[in-house]
Amino acid sequence: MAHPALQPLEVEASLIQGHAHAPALDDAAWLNAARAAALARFADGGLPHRRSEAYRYFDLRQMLAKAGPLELLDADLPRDVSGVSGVDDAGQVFAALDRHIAIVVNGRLDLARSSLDALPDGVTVMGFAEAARAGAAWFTQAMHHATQDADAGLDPVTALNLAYATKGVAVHVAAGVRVDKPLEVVWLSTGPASAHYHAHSVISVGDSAALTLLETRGDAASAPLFATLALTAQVGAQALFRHAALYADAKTSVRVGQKSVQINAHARYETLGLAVGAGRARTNEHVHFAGEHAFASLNGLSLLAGTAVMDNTLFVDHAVPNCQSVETYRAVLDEKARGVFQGTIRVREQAQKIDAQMQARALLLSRQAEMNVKPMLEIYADDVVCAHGSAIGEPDEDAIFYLMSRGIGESTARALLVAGFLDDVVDGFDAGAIGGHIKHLLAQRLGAPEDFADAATTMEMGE
Amino acid sequence: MTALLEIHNLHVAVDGKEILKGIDLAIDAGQVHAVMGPNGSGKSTLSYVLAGRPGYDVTRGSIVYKGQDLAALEPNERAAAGVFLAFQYPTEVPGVTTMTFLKTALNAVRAARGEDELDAVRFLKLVREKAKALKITDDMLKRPLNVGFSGGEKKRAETLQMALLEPSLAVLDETDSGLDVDAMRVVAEGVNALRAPDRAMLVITHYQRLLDYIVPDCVHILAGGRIVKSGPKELAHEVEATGYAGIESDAA
Repeated sequence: MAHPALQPLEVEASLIQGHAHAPALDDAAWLNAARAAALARFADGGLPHRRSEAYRYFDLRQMLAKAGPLELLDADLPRDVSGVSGVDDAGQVFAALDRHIAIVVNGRLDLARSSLDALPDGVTVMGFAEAARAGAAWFTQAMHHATQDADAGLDPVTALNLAYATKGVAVHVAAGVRVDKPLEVVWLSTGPASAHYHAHSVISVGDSAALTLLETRGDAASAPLFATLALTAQVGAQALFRHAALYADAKTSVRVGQKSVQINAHARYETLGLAVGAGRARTNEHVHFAGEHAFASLNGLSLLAGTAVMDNTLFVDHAVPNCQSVETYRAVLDEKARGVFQGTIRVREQAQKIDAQMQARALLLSRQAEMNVKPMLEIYADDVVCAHGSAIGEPDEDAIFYLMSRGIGESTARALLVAGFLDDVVDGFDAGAIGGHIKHLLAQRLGAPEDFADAATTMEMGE
Repeated sequence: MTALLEIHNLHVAVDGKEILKGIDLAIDAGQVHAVMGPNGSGKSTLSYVLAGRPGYDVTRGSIVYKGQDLAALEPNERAAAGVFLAFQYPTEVPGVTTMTFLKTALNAVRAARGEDELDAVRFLKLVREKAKALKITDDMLKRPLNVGFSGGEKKRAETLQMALLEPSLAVLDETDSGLDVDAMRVVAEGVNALRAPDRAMLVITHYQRLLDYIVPDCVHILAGGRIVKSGPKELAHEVEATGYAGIESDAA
């Protein structure tokens, strides 16, 4: 079906022209060439909109239509963010956790303020441009994958992000190195609201290595309007990669995250995305099984109110046999908030003995809240166990009555129930300190009593 | 002396359909009354209306508890005032650990009764002591409330809640359903331990066997939304011998 050509928007023109001001990467001509090609591809189609199936529930063109021209955020400008007001305190969720910390300001790694000295030997944390210049095999390999993704031409935002790929963090864990303490990447952004910025991060977990990566982003009230954040991760054979990302987007901001993860044989990948912000955001995750006997646990939670939007779009590519994936997404939506889950599991013809279980559920706390769910299974192999399920509903009134019949007031009963709906998934991701801090944040936001089971365990051990 | 609970000519409708059609019942403190009846007689409706379940509307009559109109109170206010319903089918609450639930409930009730909240140490000591008597393990307390509990575990958890909240009026709705004899014995021992001069119990059951373990002072037969016969504990054995049909025709 032919549609009339769309008039180019001012914002699109600025996204294309701004590229002239983006710095070239030193000693990485191939990557600069790929960036230029990606820009051309973006210029071709412009911002994606709802007529494109993948953006059906996240009309990026519409969201930015009235933005006018945006300027590229200058990474060198506001280096000190200590005075920035109105930063969402959700970004402090792991403040009490024993961890390594990488501070990233406007996409640029700020080593002076980071705490990375205690990282074990074999772990490298550096800025994207620095990693491109160094040209290590792990980085080059990962970015080759990223450029192939953009080459596929399926996603305009992937192309736009690659065109501007000069910032972000690059992390490498050498084969066999198990990083005990989590590494937190703290994203801080500040600058004029009429700005756009982009970061591309690369995570490489070597064979038999282990890394827990935490990402937090608590926006300032006047965050730049439009951001694309890409993460390209390679999980080596027998490796473990755990990734929790918490985003508190500012009300005015529009963020698109592109995540691409390749999992090799006998590896394990577990992730939890948590959206608690007020803005409009999308995470587009692409998981590729490249080796047999690998496992992935993909989880997403949204706790939204106001006019917030969170779109979790997921593509799981079971390209090889004998792997397992579990996808669990839950949203709690109040006021006029909107949640989206689009999940596709593809099981290729040769990929026998796959077990994939996808589930999306939402609790609507208001008549005006909205949830769009579109699960899809594309199965070309014949010996697999795959299922998907979705449920959208209101809080269980029987459970509320049960809690109230024990003396708990109605608002606390509702908060407990909603927290429980989300905590369930947090527990599945991490039953230890990380999960505990996330549950603490959710309880605070919901006005629910703190979970006491963990405290009771600690007290027991103290006896 | 006025009774702890006085129900007069109680009519209750659910979804516009009248289920209870004029119940009169008075229970004094220290007494245990049993309500027996066939399926569909209104037993569960009676228990829910006492606990304040939404959708169970009192259309006529009154429920006076400790001199106040019980129907005017929210379910949590009734709990604070000392009314406790042990559910026939306790609701599963995913993601909320039993421990967190117990602490929240106990401190809510204590606060409403003008008592100080228990700190973590005192709470834990209390809950462990009461749980031990009911053979409830720490592991069970850390699991989400009622989720994946066996029938016996659910009923023991209900009894633990009752022991912690120390009600003045405990309503036990088919506490024996889904229990084998051993599990029933544990639960009945827990319930009997709570018998006290200042506490009344209303034991709702289909079968007489629970009443061998929790021996009532008085038995009422509920049929068609009315109490058709009341008598001493021996009435329960009569039901066992003749069935409800015999009793109903007898009364009519």
